[in-house]
Amino acid sequence: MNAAIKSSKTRFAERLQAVDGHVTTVQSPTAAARAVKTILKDGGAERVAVDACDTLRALDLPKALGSNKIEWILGSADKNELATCDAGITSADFAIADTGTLAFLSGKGLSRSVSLLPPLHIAIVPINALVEDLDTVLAQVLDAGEMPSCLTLVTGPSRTADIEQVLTIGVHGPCALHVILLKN
Amino acid sequence: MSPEGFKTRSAQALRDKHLGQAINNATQRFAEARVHAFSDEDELNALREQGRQIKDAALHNLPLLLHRLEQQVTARGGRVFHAADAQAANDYILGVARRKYARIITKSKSMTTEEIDLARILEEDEIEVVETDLGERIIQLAREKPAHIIIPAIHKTRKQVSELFHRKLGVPKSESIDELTKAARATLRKKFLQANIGITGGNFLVAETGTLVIVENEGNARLTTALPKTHIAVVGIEKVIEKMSDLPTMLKLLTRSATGQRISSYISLITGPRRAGEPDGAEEFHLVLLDNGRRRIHRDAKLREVLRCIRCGACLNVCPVYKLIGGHAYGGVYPGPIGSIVTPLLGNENTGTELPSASSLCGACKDVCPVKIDLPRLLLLLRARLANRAPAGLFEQIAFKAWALAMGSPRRFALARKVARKFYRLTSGRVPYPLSGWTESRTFPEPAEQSFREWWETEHERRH
Repeated sequence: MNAAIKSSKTRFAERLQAVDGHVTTVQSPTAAARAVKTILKDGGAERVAVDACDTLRALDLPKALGSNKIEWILGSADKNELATCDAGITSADFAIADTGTLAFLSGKGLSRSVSLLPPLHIAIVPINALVEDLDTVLAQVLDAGEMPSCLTLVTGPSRTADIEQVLTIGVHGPCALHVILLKN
Repeated sequence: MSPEGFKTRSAQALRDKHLGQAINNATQRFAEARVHAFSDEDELNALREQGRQIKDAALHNLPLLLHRLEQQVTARGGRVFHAADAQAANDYILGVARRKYARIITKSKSMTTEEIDLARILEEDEIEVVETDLGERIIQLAREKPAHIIIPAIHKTRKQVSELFHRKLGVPKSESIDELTKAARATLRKKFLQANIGITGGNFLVAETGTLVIVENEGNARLTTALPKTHIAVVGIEKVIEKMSDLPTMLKLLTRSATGQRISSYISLITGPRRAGEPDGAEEFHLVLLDNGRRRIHRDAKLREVLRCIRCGACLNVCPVYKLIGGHAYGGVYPGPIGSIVTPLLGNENTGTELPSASSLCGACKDVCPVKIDLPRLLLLLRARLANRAPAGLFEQIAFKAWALAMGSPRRFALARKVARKFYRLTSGRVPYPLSGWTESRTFPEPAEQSFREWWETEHERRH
């Protein structure tokens, strides 16, 4: 791994942690599954939605986590079902070092709500998704074709300061965001 | 809205000690956060110049860019409606709502929908319109208007919010902001799942790709656009920028100027309705492009720069007038320095005509504006135009005639000075009506015992 990637990883983590996101780096799919297991256990999550993307299919979390009490909701986009889940697991198309931001592109079979409705959001992101800034993301998306119907930028958990300007986490979206950076 | 109305409202606001405290705390906090976010002055200056250029270029090509934007949105199956005024916009949206048999509509924060009073129109049709931004929800339940562009409930305490939620939502009272926020989350979540139309505003429109950009922190705009089958966005025509590559600069300027954040928690770039095989996102996407006086401003070369505004609220947070009287006293939708300019220009031209005078012209607003709008110049220009439109009152005419007379010759000037000094001694600085309004909250400057001219004369004689 070259120095540039290493430093953008560090910057990504620092920026995201500064806005109350959590970042872990793991070396293997097995380690990623272990990290997920810990986060779910700590968060007391029992019903867990998993996005239908390729990265997560390859990881096969229900199998990797072994037999435990978790009820898995795989590839659902039913809002009422997702609203009852304790956690949502997604990947991300880009991780932006400059701001600690995840970028999600909408697409076939992918729900915009898995990262939105459950109170806990876990994103497992291949480390090669790291880019420097938003300019790079937008340029790459346009180079590859056209804008998706929805490109979402997520930087930390949902927040508000609408009552007495006191920062409060988790008003409408997730109350916690965990990013697991997965080395190839 | 009469001048009397503004005076009464601001006097009321000045008497409200709690309001003054709340506004002061909040504006100071946001102004400091902005300074912190722009700690690198060279970067700030470079960004502001880029921002100004991006918006000026877009305004220069406005008709062309709006045409391109419309082509891009419709090519992806979205619909574009050009609304000449508030009524046209409301009629169109009401038409969509009726066609969809809407019972519950969720709405994310949008100044444009406040401008056209959309919620009231829909509610008259017995549709439940639910504001979902926490601050806007508080304001809606209290049946008030936003007091700040970015922080609508800037004037509410947790105690007031607790009372309000208890009364209107039936949740237990609580002094914990965390619990109040959870109560809002739980009650609003139900509405999100039930709504079949979502209405949003928009921070930017990218002509190149037909993309609507929504900046937020809570996630309510994401829920408003992802869950309902129909999404209607109401956006002022001046929000268009040319290229996607212009967007990062504008986003940096917006979030840092508004809340001091490097980036907000969520930013959605929406390009048309959901596509084949996508399980959520709106199936129908309507973009209502609102004019409501903006084209009139655009045609006026001297006023055009006000259309650069990205509604960040930074000028409110540094304005000595806003900090004293808060947002409601302005009586319109847009308060603060920017509100004093756009309120008399948007919609009905006879509203808010007293607002351009509600400024000390200190220039703090110009210093913080992320797109370098010369607000003091515009305030002066509007004052001049409004003064030409309406002749001055009799008192003002007499006062200025007398002033001109006194200033017309050295002899009369000296005489006027002597009279002023006598007058001051007689009244001990408490001048009678109609000047008493001025001295109620100010000390009348005491004329010097000896004027410069008098001193000069005696000094001159002494030496020679």
